[in-house]
Amino acid sequence: MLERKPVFGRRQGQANGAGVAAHPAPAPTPTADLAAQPAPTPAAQGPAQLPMAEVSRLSIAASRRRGFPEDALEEVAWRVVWLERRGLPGLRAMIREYAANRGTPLQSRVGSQGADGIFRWGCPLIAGTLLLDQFDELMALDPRGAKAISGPDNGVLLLPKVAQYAGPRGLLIRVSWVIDGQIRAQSFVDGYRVATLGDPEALLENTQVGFAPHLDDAPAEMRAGHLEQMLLPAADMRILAELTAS
Amino acid sequence: VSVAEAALSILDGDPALADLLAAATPGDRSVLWGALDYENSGLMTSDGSNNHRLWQRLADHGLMTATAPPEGLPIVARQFELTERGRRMVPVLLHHAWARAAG
Repeated sequence: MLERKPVFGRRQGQANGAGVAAHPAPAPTPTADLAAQPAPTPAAQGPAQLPMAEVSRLSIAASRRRGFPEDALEEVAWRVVWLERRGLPGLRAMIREYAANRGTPLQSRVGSQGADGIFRWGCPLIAGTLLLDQFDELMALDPRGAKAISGPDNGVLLLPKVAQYAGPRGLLIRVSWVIDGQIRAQSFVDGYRVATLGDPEALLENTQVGFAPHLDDAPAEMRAGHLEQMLLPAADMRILAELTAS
Repeated sequence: VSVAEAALSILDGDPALADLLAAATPGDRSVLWGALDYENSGLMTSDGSNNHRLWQRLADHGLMTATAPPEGLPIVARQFELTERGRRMVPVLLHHAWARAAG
């Protein structure tokens, strides 16, 4: 078991109130109108405070420009918001993925066969969708072991799909984040909750991802959605403005 | 016994619960999905409503627990929240109950 320490503590938010029916709409917050304003400079502007509705809107805009089909845009936004509401870097992962592959056709980001014969997944958003059909095979293995895949980049964006698989099956899935053959972090995912132990950067820098059913108790750190807004550093905001500019 | 097996055992052994789940409206379902999605899962409904009967039945199986509603409401309210066991089992129940209802 990896060291237990809080991760992804940079986001703001608070637990919700009395119930689902009583969940208030996020309070209006000053947010950048990316289409109307020049890109902010990091020196002149601090992080942007984004309510989740804005995170969704920006995810859709950037994904549309990236070339995702219209019927996939809501799915991408759902994944980004799912992560951000749980304090995980969904928007940052999406920005990294799109910024690093500007000019690369989306279709070529599915993945590629390496010289070693191993398929390496590329885009985590595409991989998550295609892997959903393979989770039965991945999860049918000896729970003491784990089945690893090569890639994808910015693997944290897989987690909502893992949760989507786990929920109806009552599973708790242990996702191992591997860099150069070493497990650097592990996430525990059921249908709606997630906990991550270890190095949070490994969820973005992973070279492999391992999956296994976790038969022990769920970690106490498991959390469902609890954040209503997030802080996006100015540097990332500037890149996002470029990614959403028409 | 896995979580899924335990959940299906509840469903098989309690036809009334299966009926309540199958009869839940899209609105009723969205409230339960929302409760799962939020960390604070407190849910409120009026006394005797379909949701009250469903949530009470889930509480009978240890999947929800009744809590005290706020005072001063203009209705007789019932409030419940998901238990740890419920957070794992309710998604299984919802999935299978509606799959069965859909044939």
